[in-house]
Amino acid sequence: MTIFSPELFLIVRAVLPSFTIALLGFILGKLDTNRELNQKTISNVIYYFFTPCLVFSSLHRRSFDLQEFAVIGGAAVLLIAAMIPLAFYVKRRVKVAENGYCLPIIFMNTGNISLAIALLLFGNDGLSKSILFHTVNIMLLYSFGVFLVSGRTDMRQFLKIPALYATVLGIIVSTTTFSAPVVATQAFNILNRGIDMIALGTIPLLIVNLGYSISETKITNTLKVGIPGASMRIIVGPLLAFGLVFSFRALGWIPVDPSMDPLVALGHRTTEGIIILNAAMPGPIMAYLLNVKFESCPEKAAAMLSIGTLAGIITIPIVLNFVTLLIR
Amino acid sequence: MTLQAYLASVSSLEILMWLRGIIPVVLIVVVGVVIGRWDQSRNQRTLDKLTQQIFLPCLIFSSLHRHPFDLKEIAQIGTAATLLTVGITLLSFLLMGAARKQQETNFLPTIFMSSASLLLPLAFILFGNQGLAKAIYFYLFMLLLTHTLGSFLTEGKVTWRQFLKIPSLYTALLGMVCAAVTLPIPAAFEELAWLSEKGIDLTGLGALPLLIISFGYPLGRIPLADVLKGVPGALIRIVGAPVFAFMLIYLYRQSGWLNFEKGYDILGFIDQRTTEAIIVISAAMPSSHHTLRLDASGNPTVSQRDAATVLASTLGAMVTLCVVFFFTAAFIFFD
Repeated sequence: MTIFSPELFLIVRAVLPSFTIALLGFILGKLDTNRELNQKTISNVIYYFFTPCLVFSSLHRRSFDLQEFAVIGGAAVLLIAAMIPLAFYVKRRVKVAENGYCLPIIFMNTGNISLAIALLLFGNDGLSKSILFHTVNIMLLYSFGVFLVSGRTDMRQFLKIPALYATVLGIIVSTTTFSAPVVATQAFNILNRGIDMIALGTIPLLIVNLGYSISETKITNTLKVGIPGASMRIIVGPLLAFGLVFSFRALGWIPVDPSMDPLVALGHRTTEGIIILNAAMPGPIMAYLLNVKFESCPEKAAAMLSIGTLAGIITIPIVLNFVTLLIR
Repeated sequence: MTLQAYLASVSSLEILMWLRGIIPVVLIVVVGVVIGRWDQSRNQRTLDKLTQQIFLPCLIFSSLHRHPFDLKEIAQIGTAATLLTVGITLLSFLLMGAARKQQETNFLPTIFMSSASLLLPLAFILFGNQGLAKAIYFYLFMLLLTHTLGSFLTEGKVTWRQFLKIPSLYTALLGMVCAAVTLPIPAAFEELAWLSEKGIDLTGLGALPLLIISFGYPLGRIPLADVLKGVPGALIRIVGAPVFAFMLIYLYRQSGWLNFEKGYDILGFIDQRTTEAIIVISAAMPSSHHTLRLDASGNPTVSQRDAATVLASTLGAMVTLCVVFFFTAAFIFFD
């Protein structure tokens, strides 16, 4: 006798390991009563070294498809744009003054749990597509998100995003074909091995960091403002994504021709799955950190992240169940 | 094949194979040095704690539970670790006893190698999980020796309590039990066990880059000008220890404890050669970065000479490790 049906097991096996790792980070955070761990160090290490390596490692080894990039990037922009009025509506309803409250509703946590789920559910193809989505998400977070919370744009911060350069470099390497000397090729392969090794550690480190961050938040006082925002993010977000995917299909941007090459069709279904998966994610940790940096409303943002992440244990498998129905 | 014949036949492909093992590790150490230089918080414990309490225990379980449990193999590696440590301790007293009396060194960077931070990733790159599991056994014995002999040398007592608080010990035990005993798991729980294993495996992979980065982190804080002070200790560490290890392997073979007959069991033969290679490579590792501690302003808290030993052994190991790889391939795999 088994607990899960084969279809459900496929989903659970992608989701549960991620939350198990987050739980390890959470336990570490709870045990670290003296706060010996400097979270800024971990976040900086991830931001400046690990994530760029993961982005490059994943992107450079697959062929770059401009149409796919347009579909995924366009979906990220549209989903974020659609959430803006909804976030401001919730903000007004719960009577919060700070704009920083909107950040965890508008933006998604595309860098922590979703990458692991994408990898476990769709393999490297899914991981690469998810990274494209993630890149667009963080670029908007560092430009529009910073503007929203601080009232000013800071292009210097935007241009300091290391993942931006890793994306460009990954795309250049994947699209360029030239005959390099053997020594240069071997040197690149050796360098690449080091990058791959760091990339290997990125996903678990991201998730442990998420768990550790959540362990620090005290949500009891902010439940009243946290629940509406988190619900908007993890329930309305994926609903919008389903609508968007069907619109893309209707417009012919994502073909569903039954006579299509099965591998190409699978690639399109993976793209759809990745868009919906990322839309189902709770708010990003960066939204909380920007609230801290610009002294907006960090407690409320933290409450939304914690509630959204905990509720995600239930909502993400449900959304993925619908994704498998859609793909089938 | 004789050594001469081997030297003649050594191809650029083999050299490339060693370089593919060592250069990525060196590059990640450099990343660690950059992080250590640039991190304003100077909190070395952050990376260490993250690695030691979460990632390394997961890597250890993930590797050991899928590696066949063999008591003889553990005894061979454990004996080698103990004899190496005792031998290097005696050599240190013999050659640098005066420096210890003047409190210039506590010998720890000379005696204890980086048996986790550099050894485990290198063993994994060069020999896969088979090599990693053997390197983990070596690391566990070094942990025991650090908290017994190491603590005795510095504090005059054995720190059992701290030793028993190390999470890796328990995940190692669990991994070995899972490998040795086929537990009757109900079918319904098999899926849950598989899912947990998947999460642990994924986390374990994160240990490899983190271990190397946490090794590089304090290195950038040691003044390069002091490096000469560390040369004697470093020479014992990265030259004396691997020579000792080769002698040990020779004795193992002569006593018949490690069989060199190829026979029909080719896999068994390769396994024994891997054990030998792991012992030699472990011995050739530079000093453990755990012997260094940074204070609030980012300066090492150990003596100048000990800090210099860590730096000198790390810089020197870039050359000596290549030589050790070469001789390992020549004497162990090709004889």
